[in-house]
Order: sequence, then C-alpha cells, then structure tokens
Amino acid sequence: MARVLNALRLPLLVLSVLVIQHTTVGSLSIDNVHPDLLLLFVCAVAVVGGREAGAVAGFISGILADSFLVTPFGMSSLVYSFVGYLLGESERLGSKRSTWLDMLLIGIGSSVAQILVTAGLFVMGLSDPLRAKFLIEFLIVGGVNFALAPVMILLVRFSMVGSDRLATSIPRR
Amino acid sequence: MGRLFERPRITVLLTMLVSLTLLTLNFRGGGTLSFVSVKGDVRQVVSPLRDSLNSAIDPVANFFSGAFEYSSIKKKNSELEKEIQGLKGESYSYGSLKNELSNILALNHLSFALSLPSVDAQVINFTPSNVQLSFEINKGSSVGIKLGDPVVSGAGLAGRVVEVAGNSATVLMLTDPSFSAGVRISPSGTAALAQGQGPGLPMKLLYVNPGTTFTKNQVLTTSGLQGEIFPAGIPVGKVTNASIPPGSLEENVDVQPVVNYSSLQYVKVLLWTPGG
Repeated sequence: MARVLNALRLPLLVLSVLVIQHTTVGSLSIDNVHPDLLLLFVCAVAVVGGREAGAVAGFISGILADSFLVTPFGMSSLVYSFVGYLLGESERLGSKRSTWLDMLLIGIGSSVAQILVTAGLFVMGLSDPLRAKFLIEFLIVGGVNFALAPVMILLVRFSMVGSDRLATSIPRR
Repeated sequence: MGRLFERPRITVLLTMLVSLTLLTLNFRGGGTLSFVSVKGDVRQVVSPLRDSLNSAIDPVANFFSGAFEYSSIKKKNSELEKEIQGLKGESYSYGSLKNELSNILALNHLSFALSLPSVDAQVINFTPSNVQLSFEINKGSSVGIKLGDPVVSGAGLAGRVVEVAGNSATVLMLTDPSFSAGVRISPSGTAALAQGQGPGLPMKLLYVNPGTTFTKNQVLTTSGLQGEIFPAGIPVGKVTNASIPPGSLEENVDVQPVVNYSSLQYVKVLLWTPGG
C-alpha cells in the first residue's frame, strides 16, 4: 500500500502543477510574461532524479503542455525531454553540487527550453523568435523559475522518496 | 561502446523519437489521426479540477486585487462612467446611421454586411503560455463552430478559432505573432496586412503602399478580399503610430487591437466560411 502511495506522489504532483499553471499562475504575469511551472517541474525532476528521470518527466510534461496549447503535438515534449536529460547530467557533479547551483541550473534550463520551443515554432512558421520582447520573456521565465526552484526541489524530493522506478538515485548532499 | 548505449541515453532517444513521430504525424497524418480530439480529451479530464480550483480561488484573488488596486479601480470606474455618457450620446445617432447603412447596402447588394449566423460564447480561460497567445471559449463543434471561424467582441475582431473540441474551442488572439489579417485603410481603400507581434505589443502593418497617409486612432477594418479568411468590415485595430524610419521605404505603422483582452468575457463566433 505504501509503495502504491509513493508511486502516486509524482503523478499527483505533475497534475497539481498543471492545474495550478492553468488557474492561479495563468492569471499572473510579469510584463505580460507568465511563469512556467511545468518547465520548473521538469527541471527540478532532472536536477533531483538525474538524466533518465528528467527525460521521462520532460516527455510527459511536454505532452500535457501541448494538450493545452495550440503548439503542435510533440513540440514541447521533444524540447522538455531533451532539456530534462541535459540538466540531469548535473548528477555527475556529485558532491560539488549546492542549492545555489541547482537553482542556477533550473533557471538556465528553463530559459533554454523556452528558447528552443520558440525556435521550433519559428521553424514551423508559428512564431517569431526575433520579436521585440523575446529576450525579456526568456529572462523572466528563467528568473521566476530560479526563484521558485527551492520549493519545487523540495516537493519533487518528497515525491520521489522511496521510488525505485528511477534509474538514478537522489543525490546526497 | 557500452557508455554510448547506457539506459538514460536510450530513454531520451526514445522520448525524442516519439515526440518527433508525433510532430510528423501532426503535420502529415492530421487527417487520419485526430490530435485535436486527444487534446480535447485531456482537457475534459483536467477541466473539472481546474474549474473547482478557480471557483475556490477567485473570491480570494478578487479580494486581494480589489484591496491592492483600489485607486486604479476607482479611476477606471470614473473613466467607464464617462465612457457610458459618451456611448449614450452615440446611441442616439446610431439609429439614423443604421437606416443610412441599410439603404447603402440595399443599393449595392453587398452580401457581407448581412447578419451572419453566429454563436455567443463565454471566455473561460486565457492560455497561460508565452509562446502562443490564445483563449478558450465554452462552445465547440457541438454548436457548429469549426476551425478558422472568426471571433468578434462588441468592439471588433478578437481572433480566429484554431482548435475545436466538442464543448470548447481555442481562439488565437490578434497579438499572437502567427496571427495576421488583411485590412483596408480608409478613406483611400488600400489594403495591407496586420500582423501580431507578441504579448503587450501593438500589431504591425505590413505591405503598406508608399505614401499612404494615416491619422492617429484611424480604425482599420478587415478587407474581405478574395481568399481572405475574415468577412469584410470588421474593425481590427486603431493606428497608434505611423512613421518612416530613416533610410526605409516602408512605413512603420503600429496598430492597437480594438479588443481589450483584459476585460474580454463574452464573444461571438461567426459561422462563416471564406468565399461562402
């Protein structure tokens, strides 16, 4: 029973993040730029759980994100799983890691993912990455996720404790 | 060699491969695989959760926004009162203008201004995304809404339907970079293309004939030219700035959409087919 409950924690967390993104966070914006909690979730899972967990979380979150947007199905999942994998590489740093480094990685990862999605949409003729405010947009998404990273890391850690479905163990500090 | 095929790499390759396959199917197999219905199903699952959370959070959010934005709300209230007074005056002259318009239409046999069949809908959600600007309405294909239908508010064009599910539809906003509409510049009647530039930014006017003159707050309406996806005569935006940058041959014209998205609650979906 405890194993089942443990296994349900992460799916429940991603569902909660999705609902919050489309309710409260959806109505919040800084200079017309919305925070992206799904991206924050993916980056946090990658930093906490490693490459494989990051890639899988990125794929599932991307599919959910695409379900709510007009973006082509598969675009966000492609980018999120790639960024999740890349951020998961930080597990190699081992004992050199710190909370600040994790926050920085999540901030940069979020900005990079936002840039890649915009670039992908540009290739498909659905967006213009050179629009006037694109830089501010990426900076705000990265900055907000940098600030919210400690909370999401805590939530993800709690959700992943006891999970044996992941290839990589939670790094010890 | 073993490191090359380690499990995390295979996993990421698989997820990216599946994503690429979905993307390809999205474009090439759209007719046989309905991703729109998949998206609709996911929304149906999450919608009850979202609605109940919204209804729980809204009163609290309204309380705080009311408390923190008291002065701006008061200011907006007085502005609205002034606007109502102005509109009352306009409504008196509207009756005579309506008669005049119907006479002109009868003379010219213009088909576009006939009352198009439409569906009233409520805006239920603004998509919280930075890569795509859209909103969701509470009516869908069950009442005849289809892809590409123009969506208008009381002020003018609000967007076009880009996704339809059974009981909801997604409307692409005018300010989205992928949105464009053919417009007519009165009184010269020349045509141009208005294109969105992103959140919080005015639309840009493209392909403007050199020498075209603009006045501030000049209203641009949909052109309705052959092949155009909107019926003619719908107000799109007001000219806020027009200038010729040094060394440029083309005029730089900014157009502010007439629709105020921040207060948009109800819209009308025109059941209109281009060329129909």
